[in-house]
Amino acid sequence: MSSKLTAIELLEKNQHFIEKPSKLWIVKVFALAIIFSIGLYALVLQLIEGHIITGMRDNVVWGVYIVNFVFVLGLSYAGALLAGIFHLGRVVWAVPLQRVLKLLTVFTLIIAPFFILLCIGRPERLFNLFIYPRIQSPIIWDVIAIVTDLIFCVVYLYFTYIKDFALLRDRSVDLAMAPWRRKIYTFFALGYQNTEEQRKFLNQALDIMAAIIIPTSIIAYSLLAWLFGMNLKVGWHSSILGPFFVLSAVYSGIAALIIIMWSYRKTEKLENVFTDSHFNILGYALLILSLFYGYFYFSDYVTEWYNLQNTPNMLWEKYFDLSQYGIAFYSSILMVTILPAIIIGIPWFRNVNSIAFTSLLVLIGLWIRRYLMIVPVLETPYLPIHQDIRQDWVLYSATWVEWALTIAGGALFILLFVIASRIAPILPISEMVEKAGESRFVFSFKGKKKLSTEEI
Amino acid sequence: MKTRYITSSIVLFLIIFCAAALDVKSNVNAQEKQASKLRIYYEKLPDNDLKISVILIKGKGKDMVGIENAEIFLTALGEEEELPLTSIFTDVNGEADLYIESGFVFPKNEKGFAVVNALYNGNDSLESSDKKVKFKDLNVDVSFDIVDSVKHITVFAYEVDSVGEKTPVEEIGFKIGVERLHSTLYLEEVETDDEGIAYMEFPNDIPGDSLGNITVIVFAEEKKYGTVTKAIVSDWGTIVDFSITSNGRSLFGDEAPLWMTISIFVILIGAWFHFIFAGFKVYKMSKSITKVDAN
Repeated sequence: MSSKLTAIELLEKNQHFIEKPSKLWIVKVFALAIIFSIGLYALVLQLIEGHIITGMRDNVVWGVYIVNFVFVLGLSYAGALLAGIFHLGRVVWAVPLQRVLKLLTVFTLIIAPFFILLCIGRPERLFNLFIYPRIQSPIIWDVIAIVTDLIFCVVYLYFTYIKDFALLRDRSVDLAMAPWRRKIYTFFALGYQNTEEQRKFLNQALDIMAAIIIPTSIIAYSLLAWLFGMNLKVGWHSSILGPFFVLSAVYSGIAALIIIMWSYRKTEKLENVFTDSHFNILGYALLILSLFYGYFYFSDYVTEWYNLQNTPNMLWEKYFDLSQYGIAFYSSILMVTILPAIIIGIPWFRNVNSIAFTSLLVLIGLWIRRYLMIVPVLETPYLPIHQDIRQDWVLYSATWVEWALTIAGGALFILLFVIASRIAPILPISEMVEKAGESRFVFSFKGKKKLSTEEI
Repeated sequence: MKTRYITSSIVLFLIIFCAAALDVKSNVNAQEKQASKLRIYYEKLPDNDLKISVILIKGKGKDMVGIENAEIFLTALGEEEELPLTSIFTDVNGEADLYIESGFVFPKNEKGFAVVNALYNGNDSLESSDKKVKFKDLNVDVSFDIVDSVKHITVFAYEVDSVGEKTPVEEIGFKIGVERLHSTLYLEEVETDDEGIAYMEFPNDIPGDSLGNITVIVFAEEKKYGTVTKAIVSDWGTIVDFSITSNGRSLFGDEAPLWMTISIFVILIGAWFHFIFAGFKVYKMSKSITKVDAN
């Protein structure tokens, strides 16, 4: 579709994104804002009362918040990784997905750190982390990685918007936009006029950003894995944890991308942009990743199981016991490894809706997996917890405050997407109409001219 | 015959009934008031002060708990006289201690024992209880000698009568040890001979402080004399240099290992350099518009 239309035509076809918001849009924003406000109320309560109103105690010091943090950050890094790879690989079919991926990256990267702040008992002492950093601490590695990645991703997102801001600036009169919006687009377009030289500079900048985003994401998520892996705890102290985290992130990222695409297809009628082919290709990616995930999972388990000692044995017994974490354990395996293989692997089950449904299952399953990686581990320390201690201090159970803040995080994510769709089209219009070969490759063979995608 | 059977049955019934009634009554009483139990111990401390420890409990086995904030009256009992000492209150564990300075003269009974009686008067839910402890004052002298380069500790145990005459005490078992950070490291158990003397050869390899000082503990636990402890500081330990040598750059030191610092900074500098370079490209892009305008 993109090769047949000009940028202006494509913009006009999708101008409903940036026109005066509909009543439905306002209702959506209002509903999401209410859900978010309930979370804010829970946050205020937590700040006043302290962590006593959460399920976290001396032994299980991390709960649903850290599960959300790891999960959401995984989505973020996956978005950045996929956007970078698709861009540098000049993957033409993935161009319409680029903006969704970058927005997914930035929004989750904004939301995720709030969950770790919620875990901190004395948030007013947070500044000490920056005043007295120890470079040896995995916490500091994570702080550096998240801050760096957030800055890079926000700037990368902005760079990809420049061409579209220029387009909106030039077409603002035809689109009957308010003058203040035109001023904003003019300011952020940085005088882009789509000249050959400007295109060259901007594409170079985008190539560089895409190139640094990929290793940054892999390193950052590996660092998060090492934040757990550096602990001498059963279930965490594993050398496979870094790659496992990266794999989980890509897996959850593709699942989230499919769900977002499906939502836009249903709400904004974008069937011609997010086509069946996209679902087909990403569905296959989901299938392959589910098999990889199953392999990693089994590899991690069988290595630990072979030399089971007392404490690891206790942990695995909790996973297998239906009265403890058995149901969550088996259902997560079902959702993450078995059902994707069945639903997407067998052509009879495979269609857009079933792939979207599988993606939802994958996301839920991966969230449960992270819960199982954190809470039961904290409930099973090497030194046994004193038997006379109150059971609710040993066993974790999330309170409504934690669930309210978790749902508020989800609501904020959707709200940001809904608002971002109004600022500029959710499709990278300029990139979609641009010839793929116009972007130059970063690397080339010595003595040979750089090849464009078309020449290849 | 038949009448005899009937009479016997009635009597038996009455006996069983009365016994059952008594048992019920005793249970009712038990529910109303629970039995309390006192334990009392005597200890002679290293500085020759005396310590009388009392524990007030209720219940049995795993249900046994200390009674908190109960007033215990302590009285010294002589042959004929009674000398009220003081009253003390139990803590959260049901324990209470009374410290008595050395030199305090207890009244003695006919066998020469000092007797201290602890009395708890009870309350609405607990019965009263009392317990006595009797003891004699055991004196212990500890001396350090080196004979042919071999270190010896000599313990002399004795009683002192009313005129100041020392009487050796035989067959008193002493444990001799050295005070460590968390508890006493006992080295040997010795027993006094008929002269009230016990010897121990002291090892040469016990670590002391930076001056070689150690605290030697001599400890006895006898039914007749209670618990007796002596603590003497000696320079028989080996000198330990506690000055901390710097670990240099290490994972758990103040400074990170050099490879880690270099790696992190190389990665960060590399990433930020490219980021700034990309920003520079966009800057050039924004400035190139002036050329377009000029053309």
